[in-house]
Amino acid sequence: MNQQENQAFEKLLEDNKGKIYRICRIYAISPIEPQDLFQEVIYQVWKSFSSFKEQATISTWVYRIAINVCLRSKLKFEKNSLKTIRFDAIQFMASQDTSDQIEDEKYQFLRDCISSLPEGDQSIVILYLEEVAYKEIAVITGLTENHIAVKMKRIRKLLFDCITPKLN
Amino acid sequence: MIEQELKDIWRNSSETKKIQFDMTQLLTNFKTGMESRERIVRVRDRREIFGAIIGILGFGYIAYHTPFLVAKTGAILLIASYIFYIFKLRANRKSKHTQDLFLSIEEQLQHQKQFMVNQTKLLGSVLYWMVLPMFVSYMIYVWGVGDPSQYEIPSILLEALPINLRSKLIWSIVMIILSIYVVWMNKRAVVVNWKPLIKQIDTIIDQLKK
Repeated sequence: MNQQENQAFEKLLEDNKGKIYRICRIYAISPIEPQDLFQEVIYQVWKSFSSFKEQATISTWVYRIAINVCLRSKLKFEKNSLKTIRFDAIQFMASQDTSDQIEDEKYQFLRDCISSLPEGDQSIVILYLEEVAYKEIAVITGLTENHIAVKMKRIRKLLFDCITPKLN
Repeated sequence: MIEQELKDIWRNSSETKKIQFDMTQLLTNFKTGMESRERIVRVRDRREIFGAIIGILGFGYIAYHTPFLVAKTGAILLIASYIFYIFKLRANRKSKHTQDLFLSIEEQLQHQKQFMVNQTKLLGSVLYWMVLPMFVSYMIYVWGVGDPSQYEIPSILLEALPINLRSKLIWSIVMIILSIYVVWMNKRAVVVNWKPLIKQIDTIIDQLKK
């Protein structure tokens, strides 16, 4: 990568680190931690960066890589490759203003409800929570926009039925 | 109402960690990481090929020096089997498999499944493309060795040749056991490692499409 590409990659990381981390938190299952998955996702983004063509938006492209890496991590044969040494270049520091126990609890409820959905639906609900438009979800998943709309109706109902009693 | 609350909970979930990068070091880490991963895959792919090359050299020496026509034919067939084995491994080597993680989720899962199906076919048919050709060639070689007393054979080769009936029987039994073990091990890898993964991917694809 040349200097210009390095700068573009740095900007991409800054702009997308939050969404990548949110996705990794959902898919990380012990012994793999969100930090391991996060590192793997940004490594794969870096590896594919030069092949990025502007046929898709950068966020579509990042979502695809993040979800594909996370899905693969759930498959047994990928688990060993993720047990890599953590890079010192990425620092995860606890945020001081987020020690809200109620918020943590609510997040755990949401995480549990997402995990209770069928594997194939989890990626769609994550994109929905990210407020990605149906059209873009269709491009990311490889399904049609209509298909996504129909699926979302059912998934939302499942999600709401699961979480409403927990939040009240 | 609940919809917005869920989106807020979701969005706030990344606020628990402050993520910072040291870009110069990160790029160095990536380069080192990539080189190390590529090296691991290359070594894994080459290990088996290296074993076959040793076999080719060994049986090449035997084929060149042995005076027994049938044993020579067996050794040449063994070399051909090793070459075919290398060809098969190179055609299916894992380092050739690209991950294409920027594809859509469905396409990526299909790619992954195809790779696994290919591996399953390769391992499941090991009897036909590896074990049988090597076994038959080896038997021709072992039972083709005659009485060496009438020939001038290098002493190093004389020690390696299965001359008497006892050594022919021992080598034949060893080869039978080894062949059964290789077939069993590969079939087991298909059942234990690959088939559950293919099933898992099929389930995800079904759920995604349903």
